[in-house]
Amino acid sequence: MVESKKTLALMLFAGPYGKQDADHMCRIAESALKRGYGVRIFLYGDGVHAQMNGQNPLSFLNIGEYLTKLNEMGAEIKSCVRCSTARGYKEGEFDELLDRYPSSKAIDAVKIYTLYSFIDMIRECDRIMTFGGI
Amino acid sequence: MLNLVIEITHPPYGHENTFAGLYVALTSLAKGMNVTVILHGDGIYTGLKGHLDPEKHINVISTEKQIEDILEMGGTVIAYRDAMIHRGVEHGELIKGIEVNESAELYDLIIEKTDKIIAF
Repeated sequence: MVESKKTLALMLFAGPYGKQDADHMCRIAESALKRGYGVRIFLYGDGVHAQMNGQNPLSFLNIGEYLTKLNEMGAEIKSCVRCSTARGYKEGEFDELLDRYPSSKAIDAVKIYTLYSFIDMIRECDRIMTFGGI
Repeated sequence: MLNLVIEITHPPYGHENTFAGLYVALTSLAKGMNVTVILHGDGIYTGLKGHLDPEKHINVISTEKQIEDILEMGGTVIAYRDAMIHRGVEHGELIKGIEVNESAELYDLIIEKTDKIIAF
């Protein structure tokens, strides 16, 4: 375990199954959490599809379930509201009680938020890694 | 102040990467960060000036306008000289205000003067 809790930020820019980026990101997040690091994940661009409810891949690891597990292990997971709106996830204005933009199409583990929350992650993390950006 | 580098490796409109990366740069500037955008690889094409009204013709936000906004907000935009040479792009063809750097200058920037890097 690390002495003082350092934080790793992870940005996912690719969808859950077309490339292996989401799988790689989740595995790195799990390893970091098990070693005692803080983990903050931001879903951006097509990466917001990783938040979709009811994923059921036959031949791949279920990314939706993996994100839920990471959230239960302590990872903070947010997604971009602009990208989520473009892809049909956002269903209303920001809900203070839910602390997110509401979406019945997104798993509970992911909070739809403004891009400013990603800028805060960049500022506050010790290291940042990007998946699917290039 | 946090020094952030946004690396753009895609041309302007075929992928969402460039718009999304420049959008993060703009938002970071609005939140008070020191932002440098590096155009690298095919990202060099994003630096070309004279885009003909992409909002009207292909319904996407002009990345040229985004770069002009970044410069206006105090951000720095750097094109990597070797990537320009490989693609036959000259400094005069780039959006006004874009600087051109050699490898050594970029390494110095990334190793000595940058806190975080995000690649698109």
